[in-house]
Amino acid sequence: VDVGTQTRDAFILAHKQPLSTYAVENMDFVLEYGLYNVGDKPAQKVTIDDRHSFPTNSFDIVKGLLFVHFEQIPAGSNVTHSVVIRPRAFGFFNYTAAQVTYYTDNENHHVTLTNTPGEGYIYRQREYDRRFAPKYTYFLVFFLIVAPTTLGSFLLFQQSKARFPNVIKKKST
Amino acid sequence: MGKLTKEEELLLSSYSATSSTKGNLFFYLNALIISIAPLYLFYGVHQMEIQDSLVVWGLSAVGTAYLLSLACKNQKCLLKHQIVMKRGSAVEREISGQYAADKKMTVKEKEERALFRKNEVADTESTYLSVFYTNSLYLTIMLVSAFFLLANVAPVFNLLISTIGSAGLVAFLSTAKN
Repeated sequence: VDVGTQTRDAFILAHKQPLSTYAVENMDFVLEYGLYNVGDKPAQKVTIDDRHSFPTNSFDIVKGLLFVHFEQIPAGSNVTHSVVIRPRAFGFFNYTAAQVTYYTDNENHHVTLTNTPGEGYIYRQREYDRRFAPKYTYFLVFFLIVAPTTLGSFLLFQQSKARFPNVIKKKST
Repeated sequence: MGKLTKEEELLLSSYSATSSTKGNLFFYLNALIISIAPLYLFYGVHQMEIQDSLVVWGLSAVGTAYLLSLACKNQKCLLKHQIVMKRGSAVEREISGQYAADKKMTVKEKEERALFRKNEVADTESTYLSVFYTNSLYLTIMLVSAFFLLANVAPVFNLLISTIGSAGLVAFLSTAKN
């Protein structure tokens, strides 16, 4: 068999990557999956399954699906898929790999995995707010609490002062 | 002339350093409001939990309220004497204008009324001015220390040092003699 005329079967490379900088409880967290067909033939019936990575008692799925199906990925092309989830509690969490399955041209079934992002920390919302949330509303309310007695005193003082202008007595010779 | 009349006693008491009841209530109300406001700021900006911080908040509020009311009273004594000097001529002119047509009133009585009016006006103005001065000084020092000098200190110590420290400093400055 001439090696030069042989074409390679479809081969899928997969990656999984968080797009959000911080994972915060009760805030959206974005994940992106990428599938790259580096073979010479299209891949059929491609699936991504990441349901075991994010149990429903720890995460809410806000947008997107953790199990997706692509009928075909042509040779030399790629597919990107995103999911938005929301952690329910803070603490350390281990992000595991997603499972990718596909069929090659001659009906062979292949199973591969994405990379594993590893262990990350889900921040408490209070800590996140302390660092990043805007603070001017609190200062505005603080000013409104403080202003009546302080500025009120000053205005009343000015009012009383205006009634009694400073009189300079002229010396009589 | 050995015994003081009621009018003379009243006139003497208006020179006293003691504040009137209304002035005292105003000082206490102001101190209460100004001592509670930073707690809201620490709750919002420094994210202190209410359940964990009740003791510290109470300590801060009580200490600050006491020191601020003390500072207001001291400041009022200082300002009252200065205001009497400044307003004296204008008040005398007012009293002279009011009772110019009254021929029956003696010069002594007019002078007594002018003195009483002077002290009354000085009392009111010094109350307002001392509250404004004390509040402005306390809030400036508290905000600078809480959010600039002690920004990286734990919120509990930040709160205690910035509020009670600022109030203590204001109370100390108000003890000046002039």
